[in-house]
Amino acid sequence: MNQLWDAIVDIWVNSGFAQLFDFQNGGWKNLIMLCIAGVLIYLAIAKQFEPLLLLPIAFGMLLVNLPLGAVMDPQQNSLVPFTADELQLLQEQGIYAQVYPVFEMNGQLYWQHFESGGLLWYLYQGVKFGIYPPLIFLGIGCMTDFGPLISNPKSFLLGAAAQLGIFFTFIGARLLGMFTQNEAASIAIIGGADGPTAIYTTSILAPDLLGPIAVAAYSYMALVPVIQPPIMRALTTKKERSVKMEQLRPVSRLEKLLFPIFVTLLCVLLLPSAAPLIGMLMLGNLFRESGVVERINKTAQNELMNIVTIFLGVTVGATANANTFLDIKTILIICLGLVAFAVGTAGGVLFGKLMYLFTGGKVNPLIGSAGVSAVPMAARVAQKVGQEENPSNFLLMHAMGPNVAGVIGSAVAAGVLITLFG
Amino acid sequence: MVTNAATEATEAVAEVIKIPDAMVVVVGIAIVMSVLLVLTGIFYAFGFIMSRASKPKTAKKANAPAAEPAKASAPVAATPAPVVQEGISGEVVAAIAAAVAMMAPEGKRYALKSVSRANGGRPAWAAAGVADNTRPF
Repeated sequence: MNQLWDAIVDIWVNSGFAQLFDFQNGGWKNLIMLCIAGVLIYLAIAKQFEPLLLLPIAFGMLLVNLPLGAVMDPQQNSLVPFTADELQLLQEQGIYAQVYPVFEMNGQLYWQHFESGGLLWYLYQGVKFGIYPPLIFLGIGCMTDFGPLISNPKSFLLGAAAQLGIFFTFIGARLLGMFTQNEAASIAIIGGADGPTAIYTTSILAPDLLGPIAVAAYSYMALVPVIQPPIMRALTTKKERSVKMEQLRPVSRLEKLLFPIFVTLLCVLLLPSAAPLIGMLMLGNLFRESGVVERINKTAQNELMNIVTIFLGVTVGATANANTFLDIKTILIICLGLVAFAVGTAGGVLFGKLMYLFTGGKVNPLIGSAGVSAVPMAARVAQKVGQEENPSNFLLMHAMGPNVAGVIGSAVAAGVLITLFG
Repeated sequence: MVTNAATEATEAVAEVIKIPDAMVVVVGIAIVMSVLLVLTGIFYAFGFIMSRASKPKTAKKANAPAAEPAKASAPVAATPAPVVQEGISGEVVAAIAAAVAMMAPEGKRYALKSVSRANGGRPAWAAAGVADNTRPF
């Protein structure tokens, strides 16, 4: 009976439950993280906040905060010195050498002890080495039509103006005095409203902040229809919002084919650190526009993108363990992320107003808000706000120009930050 | 000890060469705006070149229609009506003719000679799926 009781106690002591309710040793932190993961799962499923990424992120967060699960434990390679008895066994019978690699250093013999890492640690290497975000950009390039941008090239400038939020937030983060330049740059890139870019930049500059930054970036991308309209209405007049723009000129196939090549050449020669993101984005677009590689075009935007999204989401969420996430810095990151989005929207709208003035009222300033690269949500928001003033106003295709330009702009901004701080 | 000394040295160097925050903002905004400004210029130029290149073609096309009606009447009169298999309605023939006309390259005209049902056990959609999946690299 005693033995049975001892066995039960032993199982309980070694279980995750014991660790979770061990409040004296920080088990309460894991409980809080599990609750946060639950809230994010609810937001992803019930409220449909960017579910494709938020759901895997939330579940990764849940998995890593279950004690003793070891899903994110790193692989262990250590050199263990031989004891005298082990040395004797090695020399007489060669036992250890048959099983473990043996090394000699400074006259001392060691055997290599190997312990495999957790599942998510291995999958996380794709984030750590900057592989997954460029692959997602490949799929995005396959899905993006740059026609509205090519037919109205001044949309590039609106895409650039919307990246002001990034640099404004960088200064704000530094002024708080709690973040290094690398950390501030990683937080600032949330303002680009581009998940893969934010993850790519953060994994290089401040990998410790990957969890909170990813959660903030994807949450705010889902909140674009809530955050942007009040700013757009506050910065524009009714007359400006009612502007109907001229129909876009037709774009030839040759222009659409040359676009990815020119953009790659210019951006990568100027900013080599932007090569993975810009290069894969434009490669995907070339697949789409060439029309001769339909199989790989379909694979890149469907199967490949889905696989990478699963791996990226789960592993990024798994970086949000209790020790790194439950920190005052996380709250500051969430606040700064909101500032980045708001200032980016304002920057695009204000530049749109400038273009309205210079073109004699031909450009609707609302399309400037679409320069944040939340494709196509930001363009839809511009369309919706414009239609509130004038139901016959169709701004969607005009707003798609700055929207896709913002993708390029945020990748260029990421390249600048990585070049300066990487 | 060696590791600590190396880390301290790295941090000391980083402190010396640290870029001021204001400079980061100025440089960052300037580079992003410059790159996209250059792209704007390139694609405006491209649009201008494309519109100039297509202008002579539209001018030729404007002259051509005057001559075409005179030519068009003769070929239309000479082309015999397509041989249509029994059971295929006129609307189907018209739809097929419209599809062929749409696929024809610019400046070329095709004449529909005959319309008949394709033989084969496999439905058209299935055949298209097989062709799509077995097309060589």
